Amino acid sequence: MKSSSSGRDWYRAVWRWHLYAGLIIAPFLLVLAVTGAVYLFKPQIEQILYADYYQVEPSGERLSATELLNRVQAEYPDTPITRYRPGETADRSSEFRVMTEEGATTVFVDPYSGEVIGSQLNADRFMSQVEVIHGELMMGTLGDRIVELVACWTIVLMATGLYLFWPRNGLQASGTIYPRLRKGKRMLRRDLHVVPGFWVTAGLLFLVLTGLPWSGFWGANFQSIATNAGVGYPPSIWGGEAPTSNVKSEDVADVPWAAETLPVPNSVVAGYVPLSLDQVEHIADTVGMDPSYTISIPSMADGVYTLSAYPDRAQDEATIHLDQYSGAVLADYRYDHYGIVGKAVALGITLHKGTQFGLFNQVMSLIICLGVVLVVVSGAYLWYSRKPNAKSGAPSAPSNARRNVFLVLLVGFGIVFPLVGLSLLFVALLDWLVVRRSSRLQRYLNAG
Amino acid sequence: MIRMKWKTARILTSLIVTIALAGCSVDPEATARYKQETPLEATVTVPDDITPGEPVTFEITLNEDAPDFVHLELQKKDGTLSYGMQEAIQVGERTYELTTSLKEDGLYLARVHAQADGSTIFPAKQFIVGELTEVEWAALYEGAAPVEAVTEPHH
Repeated sequence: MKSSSSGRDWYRAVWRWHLYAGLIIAPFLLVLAVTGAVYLFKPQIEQILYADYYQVEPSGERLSATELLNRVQAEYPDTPITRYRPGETADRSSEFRVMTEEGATTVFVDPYSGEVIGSQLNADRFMSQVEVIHGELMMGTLGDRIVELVACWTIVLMATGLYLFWPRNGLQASGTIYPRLRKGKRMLRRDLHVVPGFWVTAGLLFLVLTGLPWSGFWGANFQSIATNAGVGYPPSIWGGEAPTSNVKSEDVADVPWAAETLPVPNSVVAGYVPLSLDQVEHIADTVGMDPSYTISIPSMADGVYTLSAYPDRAQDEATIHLDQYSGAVLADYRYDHYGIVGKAVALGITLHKGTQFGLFNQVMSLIICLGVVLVVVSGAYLWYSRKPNAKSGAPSAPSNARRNVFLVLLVGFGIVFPLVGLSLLFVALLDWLVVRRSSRLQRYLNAG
Repeated sequence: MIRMKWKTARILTSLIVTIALAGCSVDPEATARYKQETPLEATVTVPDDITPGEPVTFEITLNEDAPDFVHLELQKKDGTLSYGMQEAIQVGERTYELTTSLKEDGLYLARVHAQADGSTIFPAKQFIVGELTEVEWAALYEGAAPVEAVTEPHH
């Protein structure tokens, strides 16, 4: 008798957490699932949206990278140009990133005619906006932390959801794998939440775990720890500094810029000059980069040229730092040079974005996103249709003993994910300062 | 009993807050734990005063003992005159020289082409021979107009 009542007590505790966490997390999860579903198809969507910018007619010889750079600089005088992307196919335009007063702007150039096809403020790109909602809810750092919290709490929701669903007398296909359509409305409502929940759990857990390493707080710390331990990304790919060009600043050719062009001694003019973009492009050809690579142009005297490629498959990634004066390869990091955690994170990123296995990957991830939408909507409906009018519908609060066991589990989770820990502290404080002092709230939340 | 609980709660709270606030950054020494390169380095020494038609010696110092090759390519910066690639002669430990003469006044480039242990480099130093014309000075200044420094992440 005792064990059955304690079992019910435990069940109520888990239910309570699932309900409250679910109600708070649901709207955010819905936003993440919808924006994620759209972002999955970024390559196809951008190909249609920006066809006029992307497509060029190959005709004759391509102009040199330096010539293209000069054309762009003529259009944007006195504006720093920070990146050059040659273009992966013969009929693809070349791109330059120009730092205008409005912000980072991509300038599309026809590499055959040298004509500037058009430009676009990066922040205005449709997919940039979807990404900003998905990654930070359009709220900057605060939004990034909220998304991270939602991801962590989604794990709690899945664990508690699995516990609540797990049949005490063995798993059955009906009500787990497929919904029972003819067992009454109440059963159907339950199954519409549980069945898609069962189906998406593994996929959603995968998306959460592969998404967390990009988060601004947990992800940044996790990556730093992995990099420092020698098992993550090599420095400069995610966190950490790139190497510097090996030349003393006084040895760099430096003509003091002046309105009047006055002759200065040879000792001032004499000095090392940076490589041209053409020469760097030539190095890129010899070291073997994926054709979608980008060259980052140094802005400081000791900066480096960086060749980087992040194509569809993680195995094709490369980051190469070049001394901007000598062209020496200072660092050459490919997927094979990542540590085991770095490889897992890199693969996780391409799988999360749906590019690793092409269309199959995109469709699988889309199904998970749609499943999440269904679970969220049906979960909210399930709660709303069951709850009594003047109450939250939460099961009564468990006994102190149960509460403590639960607390230990959550605190453990809160230590691994400190933001969750902080949010738990916040909830505890809210409970102590507000809920415990209002008998009306206690009645509503069934928190007696 | 209650006091003990309080204590536990306080310890847990401070533990969580400490972990949450202690941001971890990448250690500069971490580079040593990943694949490393041995980049070849070269310094070129160019005399301060060079007169057209007079012999001039360029000195090249490397950080490696046994390079595959050390060449020096001399040319005018505007591309109107080139002396092609010439082999530099070893004169000491890791030190190479090339003595030649440059016939015209103008702004030149001395580009070293060297390779050792799989690392290929081609740094260039610019220098003046004789006197520059006003047009050359103007071009030199124009190319040196500063642009605002910008740094952004690579990823």
